[in-house]
Amino acid sequence: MSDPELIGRRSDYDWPLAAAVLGLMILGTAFIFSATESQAALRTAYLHQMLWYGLGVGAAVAACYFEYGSVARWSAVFYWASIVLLLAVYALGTAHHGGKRWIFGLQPSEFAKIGFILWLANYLSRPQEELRRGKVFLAVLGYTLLPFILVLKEPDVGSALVFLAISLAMMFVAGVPNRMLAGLVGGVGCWSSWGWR
Amino acid sequence: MFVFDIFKEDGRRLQVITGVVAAGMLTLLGGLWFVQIVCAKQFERTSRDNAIRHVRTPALRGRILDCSTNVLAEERPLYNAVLYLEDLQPQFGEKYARLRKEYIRAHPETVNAKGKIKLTNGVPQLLREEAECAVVSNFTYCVSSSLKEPRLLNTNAFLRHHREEPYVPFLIVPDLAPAQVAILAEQWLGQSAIDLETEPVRVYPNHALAANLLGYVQRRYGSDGGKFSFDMPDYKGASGLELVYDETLEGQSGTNEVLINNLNYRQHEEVEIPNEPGNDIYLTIDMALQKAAEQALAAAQPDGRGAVVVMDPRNGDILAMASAPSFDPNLFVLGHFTPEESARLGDPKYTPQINRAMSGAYPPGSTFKIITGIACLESGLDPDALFDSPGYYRPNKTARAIGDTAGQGKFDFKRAFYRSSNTYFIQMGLDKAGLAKILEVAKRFHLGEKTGLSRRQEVAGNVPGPEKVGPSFGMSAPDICIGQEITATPLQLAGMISVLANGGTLYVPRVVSHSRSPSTGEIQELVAPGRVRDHVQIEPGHLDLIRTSMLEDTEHAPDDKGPGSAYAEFHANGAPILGNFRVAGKTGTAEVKSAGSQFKKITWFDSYGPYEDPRYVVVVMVEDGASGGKACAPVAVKIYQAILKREQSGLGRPPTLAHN
Repeated sequence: MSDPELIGRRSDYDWPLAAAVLGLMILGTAFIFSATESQAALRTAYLHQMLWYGLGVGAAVAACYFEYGSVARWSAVFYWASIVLLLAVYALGTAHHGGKRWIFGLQPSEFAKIGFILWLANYLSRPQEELRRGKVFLAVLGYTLLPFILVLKEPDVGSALVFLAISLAMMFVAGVPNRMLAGLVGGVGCWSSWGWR
Repeated sequence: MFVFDIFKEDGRRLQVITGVVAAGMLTLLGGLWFVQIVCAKQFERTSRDNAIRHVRTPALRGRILDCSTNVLAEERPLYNAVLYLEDLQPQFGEKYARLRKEYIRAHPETVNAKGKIKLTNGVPQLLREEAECAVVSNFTYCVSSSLKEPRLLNTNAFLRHHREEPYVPFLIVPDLAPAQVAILAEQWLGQSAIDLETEPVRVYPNHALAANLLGYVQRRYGSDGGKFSFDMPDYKGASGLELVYDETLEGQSGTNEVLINNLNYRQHEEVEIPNEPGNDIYLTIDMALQKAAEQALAAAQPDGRGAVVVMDPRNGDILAMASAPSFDPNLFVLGHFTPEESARLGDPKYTPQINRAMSGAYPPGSTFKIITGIACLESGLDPDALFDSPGYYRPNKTARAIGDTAGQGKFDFKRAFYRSSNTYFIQMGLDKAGLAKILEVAKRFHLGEKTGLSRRQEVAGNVPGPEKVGPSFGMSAPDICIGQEITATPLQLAGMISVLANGGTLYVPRVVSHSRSPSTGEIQELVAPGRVRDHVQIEPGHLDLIRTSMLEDTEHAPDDKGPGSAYAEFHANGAPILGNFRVAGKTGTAEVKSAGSQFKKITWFDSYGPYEDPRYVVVVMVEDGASGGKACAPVAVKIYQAILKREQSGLGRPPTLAHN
C-alpha cells in the first residue's frame, strides 16, 4: 500500500466509472424525492438515501486502498464462509414473502454471489490447456451447483439462476471450450423444461 | 472511452460478453424510449384523468317576485349538523361487544357444554342494530341538547338510512340558526364524527302564502346523468309555477375541475364551465292583496275551506289567487314532515294541495242568475213586469219543492236579483228563455271551459249542452236555472264578472308577467298582458240592468223591498264600510246533494269595484259557509279594504298596463 508506484499513478483512476456512479446517485435521490414528496411519513427518505451514499463512498474509497491481488488469497475463505451462511439460513433464517432467505435481516445469497465470483475468478485463472480438461470443468460445475442448489431450495429461483449465468459467463471469458459450455447450456435447458412441466 | 477500451484489447470472448451486455442495455433504452416518448401522450392522459375530478356546481335558482318585487321564493344557505357514520365504526363495535356479552349472560342456554357460544339466527343482527341505534341516539341527544334543541332519534329513519345509504352523512339537526352554528363549531367540530354541512335551499319566506300558486321544488339526485364524480343535489320544480317555469328558473349548472393528490385531498380547484344563475320571474300577484285574501278566507269559517280570485278586469291579470287550506311549501323542499302534517296533507276533505281557485269545480249557485237573467232579457223578458212568487218552486205535484230564501211576494227583475229569488229565475228561465238559451249564454261566457291560465292544474268544470240535460243525466232544468248541478271554477267566474265590468271583453287570465336575468339584467316577457280570449256580445241595456242590479245587492237598504243580499256585510251602522268605493256583486249558495261530495254547500260572492270605473274583480268561494252573504261577502269586504290601501299607496289606480 505504501508502494510509491501505486500512489503516483492517480491518472489510472477510472473517472468514467466514478461519473456513472455519481450520476446514478443523483438520479436515485431525485426519484426517491419525487415519489415520496406528498407522503408526510416518507418525506425524509431521500435524506436517508444520502446518508447511505456517504457510508458507501467511504467504503469505496477504503476499498481503493486495498491491493486486489491479495483478495485472491482470501477468495476460498469467502466462498466457503458464504456456503456456511447459506446452510445457516436453513437453521436460523426467517421467512418472508414465501421464502426462507433472511438471517438477521441479511440475505446470505447476496454475499454468496460475491464470494462465488471471487473464488471462480481465482480458480479459472489458469492456462488454456488446463481449462480444456474435463476435470476442471466438472470442478467448476461443482462449485456452481453447490450455492445454486442451496439457494434454489430456499426457495429463490431468481437468485439461483444468477449463479448459473455468472458461472457460464466467467467460463466463457476464461476460455473453457465451447462444446463444454454448449453441453452445460443444453443440460440447463433440459432441466428447466422438465421443471416447468 | 471506457466501454470501448475493451475492444482494443484482444480477447474475443470478452468482446462477445460486452456485446451481449450492450445489447441488453440497448433493449432497456429502447423500452425507456417506448414508454417515455411513444406512449407519453397516453400515459399523460391516464395520469390526468386519475388526478382530476369533475364536480358539478348547481346554478342558483331564480327568485319568484310579486308585482312590486316582494320576494315569494328565493335561495338561501342551509346549515345542518350531520354525523359521519363511517367514523363511528369503533364505537359501534365496542357497544356491540358489550351488548353481546350482556345477552349471553342473560341467556345461559346460548352456551353449550363445550363452552362454545351459539347465538340464534338474527340475534347478532338485532344486537348490532341496537348498538348502532344506541350510539347514534346518544350523539343525537347530546348534540341537539347542546344546540338547545333536544331531539330524540327516529330509530326507523336511522336504520333505513344506514341500510340504504351509509356513505351519506346522517342528518341530526337540520337548519341551524347562526347561534347554533357557533355552538356546533365550538363544541363539536374537529373532535368527533360530527360535521357542519352547507347546502343551498329553496325558501318560501312567507310560508303558506300563495303556496298553491307557487307550488314547490323537490331535491333531485342523479340529475347529472352519472357524468360527475360527486353528485351535488339541486332542486327541480315539482308543482305549481315552480314546475311550469322550471326551465326559466333553474339556470345552467357549471363544472369545476378539482386537482387531487394521491390521497384524494383537494390541491387545486378551478372553474371549467361557470354556472349560469336562473332567471327571476315576476308575477302579477300583489303580495298585500294575496295576504289579505288568505287571512280573510281563513277567518270566514272555522276550518276555512275556500278560494279567492282577485283579477284586474282591464287585462285579466290575477292580483291574488288564494286557496284554503294551504300548506307550507318549505316542508316539501327537504321532505321533513311530521306525521300530523302528512295526515293533514292527505286528508280528502281538506286537500291542501288542491288549488281550489282553478283546480276545483263548484256549482255557481245563485251567481249563475246573471247568466239566466241575461238569457231571459235576450228572450224578451220585461224586467219591470211583476211576478207573484209563492216562495217555492214545484214543477209538478209529486216533485220536491225548491225552496226560496227570498220568500213570497211580488218581484220585478231587479228585486228578484238582489233578493236572489229562486222561484222568479226558475219560472222566468224556463218560461221565457228555455234551458238551451241559458246554456248558450253560459257558453258565450266560456263557463265550463279552461281559461288557459296554466297548462297544468286547471280543470274545466261541467256546463253541458242542452241535449245532455234531463233526469237520465241526473240534471234537471230548474236546478240549472239557479246554478245547481253545473260546475265552474272560481277563476272562470272571475272571468265572467270581468266581462260585465269591462263591458264585454274576456281576457286570458295571466299570473306571470316577465323574467329578468340576474347577471345581464335582461328582461323577457313570459306572458303577454291583456290577451283577448273572446268578445262577449251583450246588449248595453241588458248589461246596464245587470250592473245596477248587482249594485243593489250591496247597496239596497232594508226597506219594504230589501235589503240586498250583501247589504248587511257592506254597511256598518247604516254607513258604507268602503266609503265611496262602490261594489257591485252577487251572492250565491249552492246545495250539493251528491253522496260522494266532501261538502254540503258552496257559497259565493262574485263582485267588482269601483262601480264607476271597475279595476278589480273579487270572487270569493267558501265551502260549507252559512250563506253567500254571511260567509263570503265579509271576505270580499276585507279584500276591498286592502285594495283601498293599495290604491292609496299609488298602485293600481292608473291603468297598470298600456294595453287597449
